[in-house]
Amino acid sequence: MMDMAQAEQIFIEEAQDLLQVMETCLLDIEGGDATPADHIAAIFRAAHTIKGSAGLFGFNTVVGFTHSVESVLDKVRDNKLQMDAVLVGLLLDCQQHMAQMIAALSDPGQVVNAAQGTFLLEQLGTYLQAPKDPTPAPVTVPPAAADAWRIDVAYGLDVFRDGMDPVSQLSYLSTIGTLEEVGLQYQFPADFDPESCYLHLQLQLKTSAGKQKIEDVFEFIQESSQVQIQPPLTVVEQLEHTPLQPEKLGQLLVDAGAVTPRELEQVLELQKQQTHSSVGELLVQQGAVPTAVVEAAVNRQAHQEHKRASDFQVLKVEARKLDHLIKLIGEMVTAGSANEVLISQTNNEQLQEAFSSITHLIEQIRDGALSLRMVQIGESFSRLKRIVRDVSRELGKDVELDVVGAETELDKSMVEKLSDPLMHIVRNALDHGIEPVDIRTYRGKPAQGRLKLAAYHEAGAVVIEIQDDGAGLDASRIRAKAEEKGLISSEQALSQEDIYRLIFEPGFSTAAQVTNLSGRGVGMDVVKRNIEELRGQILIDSELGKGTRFRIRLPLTLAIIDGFEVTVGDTHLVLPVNMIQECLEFEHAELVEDRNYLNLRGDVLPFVRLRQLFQLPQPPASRENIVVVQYGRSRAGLVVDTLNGELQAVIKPLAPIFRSTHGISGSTILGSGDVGFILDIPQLIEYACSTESAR
Amino acid sequence: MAVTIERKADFHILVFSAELSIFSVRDDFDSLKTLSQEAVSQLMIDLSHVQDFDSAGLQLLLYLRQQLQSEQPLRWLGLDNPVISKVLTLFRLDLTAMEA
Repeated sequence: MMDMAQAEQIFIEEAQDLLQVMETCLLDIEGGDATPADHIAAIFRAAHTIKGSAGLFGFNTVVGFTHSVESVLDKVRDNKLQMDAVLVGLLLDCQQHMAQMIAALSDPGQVVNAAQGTFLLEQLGTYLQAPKDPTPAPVTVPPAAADAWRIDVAYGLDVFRDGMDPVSQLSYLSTIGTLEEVGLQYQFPADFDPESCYLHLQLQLKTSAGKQKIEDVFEFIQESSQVQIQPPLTVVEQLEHTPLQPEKLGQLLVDAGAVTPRELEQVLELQKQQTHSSVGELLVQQGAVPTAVVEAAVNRQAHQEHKRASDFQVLKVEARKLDHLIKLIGEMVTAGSANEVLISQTNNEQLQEAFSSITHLIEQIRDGALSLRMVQIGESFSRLKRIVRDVSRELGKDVELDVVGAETELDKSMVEKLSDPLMHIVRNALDHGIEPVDIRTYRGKPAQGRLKLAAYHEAGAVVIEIQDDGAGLDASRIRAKAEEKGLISSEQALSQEDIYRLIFEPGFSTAAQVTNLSGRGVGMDVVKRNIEELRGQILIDSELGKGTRFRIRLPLTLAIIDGFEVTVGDTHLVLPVNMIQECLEFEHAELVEDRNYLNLRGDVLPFVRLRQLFQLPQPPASRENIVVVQYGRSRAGLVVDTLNGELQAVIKPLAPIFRSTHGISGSTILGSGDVGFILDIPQLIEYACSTESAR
Repeated sequence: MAVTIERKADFHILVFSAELSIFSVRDDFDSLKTLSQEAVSQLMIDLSHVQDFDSAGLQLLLYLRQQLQSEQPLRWLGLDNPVISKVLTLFRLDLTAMEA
């Protein structure tokens, strides 16, 4: 049976996950990426579950505080309260306070700010006492027609005086389709003015023309009149036959021709005032589409919605079990390779064919198992969103955060280890990169700074970029500081990139003013070390006055790779396949004497003789080969003896004795039972390029 | 030129000119105000001379029908004028029908 301590730990973990959901949803609403209607259910559910579970364990302070939060959320859910920017800010503060309370349950050292709690409860209280918002009068929308567009135009008083003529509009509509059920209504006031328009036109139009074409007819009266154009219900059928779409509802309806971009824009604008209403509700309320069309579009969005829901509903598996599974699969891959070698020696074609299908399945199982460990980097990015929000407020800077590729997947262990480095780079960008508003204005930049977080796949690696449009790195200042700190001598020649890399040296900091965020000169060296521990690489691009971009390149996984085996003497080496460009015969005759580069179809290719680098005693083979490898924008050649072909390599960590050996990142057991060393391609390329450029 | 009011026997005939549009409705309306000072037993509206007819003109006719039909029966002339019939057909309107 589970003991109480264990159950409490599960509660704490679950509460932290729920608080994460709450934070992500609130930040989405604050950033305009989602509406309150999209997320209120998830936010409410999070608070409700935390309160309920905390009650089971008798955590009364958590229950009391969360109860007030839940009550406010309940009002929002019931459309009795609008979730505006102020309320979102308050709820984010409440979320942070709840996180403190939860953290304090497992860590008695964690301080809960009681005064802050009281203040927040008072703030929540004002919402709970607030009178009910007046509900806007419902707009009567006529039912949609089966196969005809329903057009309803309440003409404005000035339509005639503005030179517009409903007769012309009707006449034009009759040329693009068939008019049906035309009805003209009017109500003349006692002070009838013959030049004012009191007409209200309703009709149905059967046409193959799109909504935009129909709307264009009324383009010049949109300002003065109320025009409603409802698509026929046949649009529902069309929508039902379109494939599932990842787009937002509004865009889906625009794509289906049921809503025009103008209508969508108008509704999105309206939603800023009526934040509790969804886009679909507002479109129906405005008479732009019938409910049935919105429902059909929502169904087409089902995949997206389902995906969103699954973000919050996951099956939890103990990491230990997953690691064990992956370890077993690693063993299976190794055993499979050994069998493959033996089977290839039997010359039994049937057996070889049968085994190749097993190999194929093993590859699929391997990829499937590895994907279980993959998580979207968006999880890390959403934590950064909070940091950007809080830090920029603290510094009085206006910063817009742009996130691209949040769905990019990365091994979970990497995401965890990346968290701190990313946080540090982002804090640095906000603190030292993006200038205060007055300086930005003086420099002719937009007052609002921009910070972009992007993640994407590139040649078997994941690249994460953190880019700001701030002051950029000042190479001369960095150099001067490095000289002052004795990190380099004044005579030392360094490229711009080398100078930038000095910021990763321990104890380096150029910040004139140390703030409580950064500037203490601790961190960037740790950032680099953490990234390198993940077999990654960090690169800097910067332009003075324009901004800085950090690019972090990481391998896709830490466990198993598709490798290519080569030998030098009797040493087996494995290269990651996705970094190999081509293999060539190594021609000694074409070489420049004493230099390690060759002419590869007009390009200079530096190379490394692995025999020399690893000090292997055997003499070179009569024929040597060169493997051209690429990492990022750099490439180099690796001189080896024989090329043995592809294999799956289960990466085993290096024994401490090999840790000091450069150019090797791990080891693996080959099918033959031999040990293969996995080459660290980025390090070897850097070595080849820097050795040659230094000469 | 605005609408003219002709008096024949016990008929008042409102003869609209070639223009029955936003450019004429103000004058037409003002001219028709004099009707309220007269005792009208039978009223006829003649549209046969109309050459320019728009929604403002149509609205004035609808207004007249609403105001006058309760007092005396309306007779229409020139509803077959293509300029008029085209607009009435578009709006599916029958001016001779009594308004509800």
